[in-house]
Amino acid sequence: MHYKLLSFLLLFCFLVAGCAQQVTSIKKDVDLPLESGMGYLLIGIETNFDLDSVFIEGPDYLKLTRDDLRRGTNYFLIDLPAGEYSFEKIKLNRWWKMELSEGYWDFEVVPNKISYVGHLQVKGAGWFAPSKIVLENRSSQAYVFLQDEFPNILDKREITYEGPGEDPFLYYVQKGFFKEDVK
Amino acid sequence: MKRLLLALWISYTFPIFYVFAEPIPADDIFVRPNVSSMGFSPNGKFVSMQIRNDRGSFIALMDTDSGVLKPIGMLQEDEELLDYNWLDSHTVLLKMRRSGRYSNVIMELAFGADGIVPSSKIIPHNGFFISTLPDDRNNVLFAKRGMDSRLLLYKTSIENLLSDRLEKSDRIRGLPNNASRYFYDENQKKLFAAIYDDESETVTLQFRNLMKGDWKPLIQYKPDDYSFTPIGFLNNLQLAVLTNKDSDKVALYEFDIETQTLGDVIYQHQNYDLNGANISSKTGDIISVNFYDHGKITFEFFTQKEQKNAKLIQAAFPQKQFVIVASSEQNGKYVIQTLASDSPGAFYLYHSTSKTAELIEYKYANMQQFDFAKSEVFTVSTNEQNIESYLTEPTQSARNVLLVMPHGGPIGIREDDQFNRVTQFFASRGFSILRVNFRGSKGFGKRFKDSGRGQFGQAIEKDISIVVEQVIEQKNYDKVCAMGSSYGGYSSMMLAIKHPEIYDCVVASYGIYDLPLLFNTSNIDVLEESREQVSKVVGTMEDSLFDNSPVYLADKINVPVLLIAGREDQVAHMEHTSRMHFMLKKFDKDVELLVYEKTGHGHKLWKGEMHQYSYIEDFLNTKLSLMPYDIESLSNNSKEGLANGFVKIADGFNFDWKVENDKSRAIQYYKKAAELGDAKSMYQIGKFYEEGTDVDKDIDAAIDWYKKSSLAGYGGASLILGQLYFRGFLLEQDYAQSISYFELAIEQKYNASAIAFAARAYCLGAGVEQNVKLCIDMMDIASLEKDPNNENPVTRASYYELQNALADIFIMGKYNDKQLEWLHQFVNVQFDVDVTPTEIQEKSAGQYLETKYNYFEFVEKAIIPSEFETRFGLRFNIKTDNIIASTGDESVVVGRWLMHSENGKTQIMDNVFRYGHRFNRTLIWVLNRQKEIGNAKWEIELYDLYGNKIYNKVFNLEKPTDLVKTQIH
Repeated sequence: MHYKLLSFLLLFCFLVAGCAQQVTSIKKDVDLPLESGMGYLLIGIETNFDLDSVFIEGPDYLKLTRDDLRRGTNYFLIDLPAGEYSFEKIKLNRWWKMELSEGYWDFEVVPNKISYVGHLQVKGAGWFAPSKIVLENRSSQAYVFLQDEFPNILDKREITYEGPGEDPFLYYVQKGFFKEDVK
Repeated sequence: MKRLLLALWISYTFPIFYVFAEPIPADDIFVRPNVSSMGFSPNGKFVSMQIRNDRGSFIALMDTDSGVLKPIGMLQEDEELLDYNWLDSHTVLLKMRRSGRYSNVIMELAFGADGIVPSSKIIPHNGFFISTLPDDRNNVLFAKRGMDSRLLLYKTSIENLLSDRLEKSDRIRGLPNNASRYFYDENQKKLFAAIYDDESETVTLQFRNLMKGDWKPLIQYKPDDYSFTPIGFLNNLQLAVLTNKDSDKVALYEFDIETQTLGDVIYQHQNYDLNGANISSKTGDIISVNFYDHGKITFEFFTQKEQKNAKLIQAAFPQKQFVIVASSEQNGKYVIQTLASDSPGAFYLYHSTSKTAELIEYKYANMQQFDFAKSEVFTVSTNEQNIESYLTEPTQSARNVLLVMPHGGPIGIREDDQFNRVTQFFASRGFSILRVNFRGSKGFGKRFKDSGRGQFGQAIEKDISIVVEQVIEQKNYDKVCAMGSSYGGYSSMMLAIKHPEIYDCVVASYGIYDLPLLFNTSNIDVLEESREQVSKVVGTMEDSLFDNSPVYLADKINVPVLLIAGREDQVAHMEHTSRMHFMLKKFDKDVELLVYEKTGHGHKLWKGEMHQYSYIEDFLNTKLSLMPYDIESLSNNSKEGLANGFVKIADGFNFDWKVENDKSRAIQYYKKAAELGDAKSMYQIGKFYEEGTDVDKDIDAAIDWYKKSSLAGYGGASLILGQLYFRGFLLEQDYAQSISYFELAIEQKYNASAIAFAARAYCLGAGVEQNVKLCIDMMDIASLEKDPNNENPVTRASYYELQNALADIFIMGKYNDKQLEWLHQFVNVQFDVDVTPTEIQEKSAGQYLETKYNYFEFVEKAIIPSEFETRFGLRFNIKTDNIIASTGDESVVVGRWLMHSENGKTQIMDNVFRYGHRFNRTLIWVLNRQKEIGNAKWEIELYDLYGNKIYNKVFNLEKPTDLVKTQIH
């Protein structure tokens, strides 16, 4: 029974690995000219154990890999086609994965801007059973991260919150007023 | 003469130092009660209670006739008594937490000539008791969760509970699937079930006979609409219930079971919600109701007998509130707890026949030595409502600073006129504290409570401000600060934003500062049902929320702000504080941030409270530029109280705890505490100088501070001086000085480590005449641990240092055969191991490195990088001729780590004592101190217990920069 389950998961993983594009976070603070219809995606990932991979579906099918998913707080910054995306699943280790329900993990990448979509928080009590997976809005912390690590990109690009819900905080930080206040 | 007079006038008018009353140390006020859980045994012969003191936690029985109090069951260090019930006059059921897990324990009490002898048995089922079923001597009602998390009920005997036979007992059938709670009414013998439906947010109450029968509906209601608490059966047709379904105030009503309607009002207070009611389980007569009248818990008794008793009790405790905690009607005895704003309370045994009361225990024994400040209760009337408030002024030497402290919630929480730790902590330091029951607070009716909804930063802060204005008009304070937690943190920020002319600083803890973020914190909070819950308190999600969010009003804050947050706060997420901090920084405001790691919406342990409030006090003193203390004029108690706060702050910065380390601030606060005479702080400063941590390394200064600390009474400093003289490290080797410092540490009651080191001196004849017998006697710290008269605590560290001392004893000592035999015998008895000649078989040695998949191994290297966290050592087997050792459990070796520096000096870094199994033993050194970093040869030496060196290995360590240079050359 275990063997069967394992075989199924391995096969499944093999198929997934075949079509998802493995991506790693940008390391250099250089704002390259973006092609039309491209934008930056910023995700925070906080976990209390090393994760294997995170899959994101949308205009591109992405796989975030171990190096960006270490225990602690990680930030993931990448340029990619703008559009509607969604966290699809999280592979905790070689054997276990968590499928994420549709409709609760959606976000958008806006062209030419940095779209911060939240901090994916994965907390586990055991090595295979996360006790908590949630996408939290920590815009101020994300902004400070960019200020510290990617000041050039931040200087040239507007950052906007594009995770669940609506939050004008980052707009306010950059402009000093709300969109609605513009007459 | 004229000049002198002028000088006197100046010093009188402008005092430059602040003279204190008695600042209460944080250690003494943020503590658990010493006594709790008072009750009578069923025959009324004993008052039972849980007591916590220096010796641990235990249950005690007080004989109600003789007044003699006897402990009957000492709890272990990892055990905590949560609750208990008497099953009969010689059986007690204990609900406990043992090693973090809940368990039920049956304690049988044997009463004999030798006193009370308890014996305990653990119930092997996780669950809890619903009722002791007083009318059924053989059974109890027990609940546990089934595999599907459903609550299962059993009417079972204690014998069955103690065995694994619970499943065979009388399991009660026909229970609802989704009941969240059960209650049993002992008068009418009815079982009640409470069912909460998440979707409709309704509570359904129903009841039936215990074992069988149809469930009869009692009521279905939404707790958001009104409260409904059944108190008991008035008769078989009517219940007494506390509710505000048909009235503004919570009142006591008759409730008709058949028609499910409210009947007559039994008792209603004109101004206040009822807080509770008591009904006789035997007769169904109402005994009393209680409510908070001007913040004081107040009882109205219904029978003449109780009214008479209450009058007598009140006369015995004038100026105090009291609660009858337990009563023994057959003996006419009551356990009374007294309460007051200026008293932490006490428990008394009241004899209604003799009309006398005797003290059982103070609730907080340590607090009896302090004078507490009394709160003044007053009401401010506005056009809309009356606002009840409490002003606590320091008993002496006011600093003329008002702390306005809005409470949390804001809906359904309240302040009262009872003892309040935080209030007393600040009052004892000269601050005045104002607490306001603004709209939304509990206890003043439904209208008052609901009028606070959606009034964040608006009517609520108006209420507070009306009271503040009246108080400052009358009292004329020099400074005013707003300080609060949770909603109180938010409110404090808003008060300073709205009234910049009043406030001089803000302390906001665990607060929310961006109201729209409450609807958008996570992908769970954006769901409709989550947002609906938030709306009920904050108001609907609309743009006006931005106008009342401190994050978007940060530019209006012009006073120093201290923000405190818990990194794992799930109520007021850390992002609120991060945003507030970010915006205040952006506007270049004076803001300080204190983040507690592994902390949620407040502290779970008292240590956190001690640190937090000490930190706040320091913030207030600094930011308000309050007068420094006149140390010379302080009493010893005052010095201790103040030093205690500085030590809390310094320890937070120094040790691996929940706040970010900042060694330079740690030494700064240790110095403040040392100035007030704190001996332990002097020792810590010595360590900073010895290590060169954030100060220039200065061995003379280090030794000087150690000596000051030792002289001031800290045994830890005496111990380290003893060791330094013994090793000849930092100080010229001097065995006589060494033993005198160990003896001083013993005198200073440090811990049993000092005894182990003094024993070593007698074994070696170091500074004293060799006396191996005495040495062995002294080393028996296991027996010392059991000695009730021992004044030197035997800690885990003591056992570690005993092994450290033993290593020296076997490596350095010279003994005759007899003496060696005694020493081997001691090791045999203490560590259960036979001493035999031994050899070491090295398996691997070198740097300890992670190779793959969290697998670590020793990698042989010519040069090991000398940097923090570098690990090195060896894996080895121990070969011995001992036959018993074939089990792999019997072996013992000693040894030491040596550091041979480039300057030719050799230092013993630590000793080794390894006993137990023989295979795959490891010895690993981790570089974690500045003094360990650098080019040096490290050596591990191992010896058998006959003084023979049986192994050594040298590791070459070099700093990485030097490594690079070596490669270039």
